Amino acid sequence: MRFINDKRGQIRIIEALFASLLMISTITLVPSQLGIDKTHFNSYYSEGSQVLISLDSNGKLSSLIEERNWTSLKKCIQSVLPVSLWFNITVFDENSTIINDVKISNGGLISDEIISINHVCASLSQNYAIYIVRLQLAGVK
Amino acid sequence: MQRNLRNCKNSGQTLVITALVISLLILSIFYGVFEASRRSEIDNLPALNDYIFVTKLGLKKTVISSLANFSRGGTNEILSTNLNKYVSIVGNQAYFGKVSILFTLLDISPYQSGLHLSWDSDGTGLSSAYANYSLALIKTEANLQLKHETNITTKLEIDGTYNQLQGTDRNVTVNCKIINEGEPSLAKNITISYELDGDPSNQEWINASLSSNIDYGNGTYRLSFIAETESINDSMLISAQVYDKRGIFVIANATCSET
Repeated sequence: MRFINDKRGQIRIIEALFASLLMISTITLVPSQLGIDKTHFNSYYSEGSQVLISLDSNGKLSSLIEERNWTSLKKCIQSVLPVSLWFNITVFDENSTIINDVKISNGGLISDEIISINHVCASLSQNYAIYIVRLQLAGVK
Repeated sequence: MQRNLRNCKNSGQTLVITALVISLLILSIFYGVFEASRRSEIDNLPALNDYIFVTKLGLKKTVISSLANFSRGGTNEILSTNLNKYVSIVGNQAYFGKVSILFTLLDISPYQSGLHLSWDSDGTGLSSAYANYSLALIKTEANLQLKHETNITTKLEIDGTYNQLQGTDRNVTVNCKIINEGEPSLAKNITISYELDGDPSNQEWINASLSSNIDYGNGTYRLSFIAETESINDSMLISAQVYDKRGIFVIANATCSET
């Protein structure tokens, strides 16, 4: 009889149980949601980095910049990136001055989420120069 | 009296449950923080690997460019100047924390300021550069330090034979082998010249007009030309000047044997 009447304790236990479950689920779900965005970012970052590294490894990237051959640079990037990705390249010299006088991009921006990769590219020629290549990438939402 | 006892019992229950909730809350917060930092570390790892690879690649290209410059008559401070420039720019690009690169140029003979040219008359020519680095990455979560070295060497090996033609004319065949860091490599340009009287002291080098140039595709080239020496008894001294694919210049001299 006493147990039936003493309902306040039971309610508190159930309340506390729900509260703790709510807190645990909130805390465990937040990092996993952040992880989803980060995975998206990482795949673009990795893809962009690999493109720049493969072009830079054989000296192609620096030679195209030295020749100011922006059309070929655009074609090179376009041929290795998936068509669903938007890209834009800006080339800076050692003094952070933009040296590409034409836009190196594959069209209009299709997403607000843009990731940016800055790649330091050293030249192979005897007239040493350093360029900073900024590759911006975005995908379809 | 009974009501008081019930109140006391309830108060105990509340305390136990409150303690349980607080402990669960603290545990879950710790778990959440640990999980988030672990994910961040794992997520950043491929990007960090790429960054280190790009930095090493940049250092290698800087050494190649400096050697190309030095082998074409540049000063031997060029390697130090270029590396300082590269290190300064990379240091300002802080993606993963503070980056610090310390480099040391090999200064043990025959190297001077990390550079060495040996263009001998025994059929071998060598252009080489050597530098080692210590790369330190000071991050918020952890520090990373790694050592790395770059040795760029272009070696040219030549040997030649000739057979006497009519008068002072000779049919000369030269074999050239180009080696980059111990591996066969290709040439951008090869020029052959020969000494008019076979005496290198008066430096009367004549550019050879090549009648054939066979590229075997494995860093070996066979070149032929007709040489006209001053007299029939002159020794056949040849010189090969080669630019490898990276633009590094190397010379090798040799004396051809008669077949």
